[in-house]
Amino acid sequence: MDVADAIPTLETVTADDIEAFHREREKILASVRDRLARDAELDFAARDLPSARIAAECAKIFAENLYVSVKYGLPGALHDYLAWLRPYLAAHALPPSFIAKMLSAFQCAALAFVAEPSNEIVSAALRGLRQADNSRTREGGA
Amino acid sequence: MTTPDARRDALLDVACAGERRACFDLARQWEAEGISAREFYNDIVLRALAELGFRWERNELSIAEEHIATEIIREVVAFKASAIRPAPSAKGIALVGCVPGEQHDIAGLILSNLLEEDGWSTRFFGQSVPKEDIVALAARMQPALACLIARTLPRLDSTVELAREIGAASPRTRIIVGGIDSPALRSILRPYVHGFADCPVTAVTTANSLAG
Repeated sequence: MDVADAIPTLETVTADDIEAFHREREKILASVRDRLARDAELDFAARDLPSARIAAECAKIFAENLYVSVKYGLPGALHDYLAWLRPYLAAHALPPSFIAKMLSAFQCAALAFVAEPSNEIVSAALRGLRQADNSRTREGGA
Repeated sequence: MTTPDARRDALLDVACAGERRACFDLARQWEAEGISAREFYNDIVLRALAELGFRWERNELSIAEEHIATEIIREVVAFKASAIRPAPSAKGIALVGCVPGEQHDIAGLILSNLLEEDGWSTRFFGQSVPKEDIVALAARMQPALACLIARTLPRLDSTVELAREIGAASPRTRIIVGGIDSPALRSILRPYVHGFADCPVTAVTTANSLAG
């Protein structure tokens, strides 16, 4: 999925889902960070302090944007943030593979959240992240 | 004739070089040339700040360099405040500052200058003030006007909460939000605020029409 693709509608998200996300968003954020940190290709980011800082900060801001986008039903705003993020990361000399994976991790979290809004929302988001991760690992090994 | 763009570039050059005194000299020179407040704040200062942000985004300036230049420009705005001759009319108290979490407070400083010049008694609280403290201040002062700055999507939540609570604590206060131009975000805020401003100059016009 490309950044330019629209995020699905948020109309089915309920107040309970939003509260669940608010309570658990640190876990979602941690999973994104963890996923980036465990990626062998992205070892450089762990060693390179400025890159690691940029990635962590962007993940934090992404989580804030996702929360507000979902709470107020503003998928376009989230899309704008993701569209802004790519050139920002590129300008900071982060490798294209890193940028693609980071944006993909963010989008998976967002899509998993809006695609399956329920009381299980956090686990759905994490499941989506894991599935995307596994699928990319298989593609990489092929 | 010097254009606003040339003036903006001149300010950027000296601010990025860290030359604080040279920035004051430019402000003094433009004052003597009689440039309008709109040109000084909108066409020079705010556009210079926006350009600093773009340069940081493009990694042409480090965070430290961007902050040094920004702080110099903040001092230029404060320097301008020292020359203000407030209008004689007393329009009431205007509370100005950022919603919790928002850090872009220079537009608020500019607005304070303009409101003061226009006859308002301003209280600029800057950034990083907890919501409860701002609401308590509003409850105590019952200001005629509260101008809240929120520039980014994640601040929408705190803007809604702050505006709602100021409205409850000080029902006569007219609330203006600056920094948010998206129609979708404005429609979410509209039930809690009385107006929006695209820039500090238009915020003064909006403030006067609400107070009138």
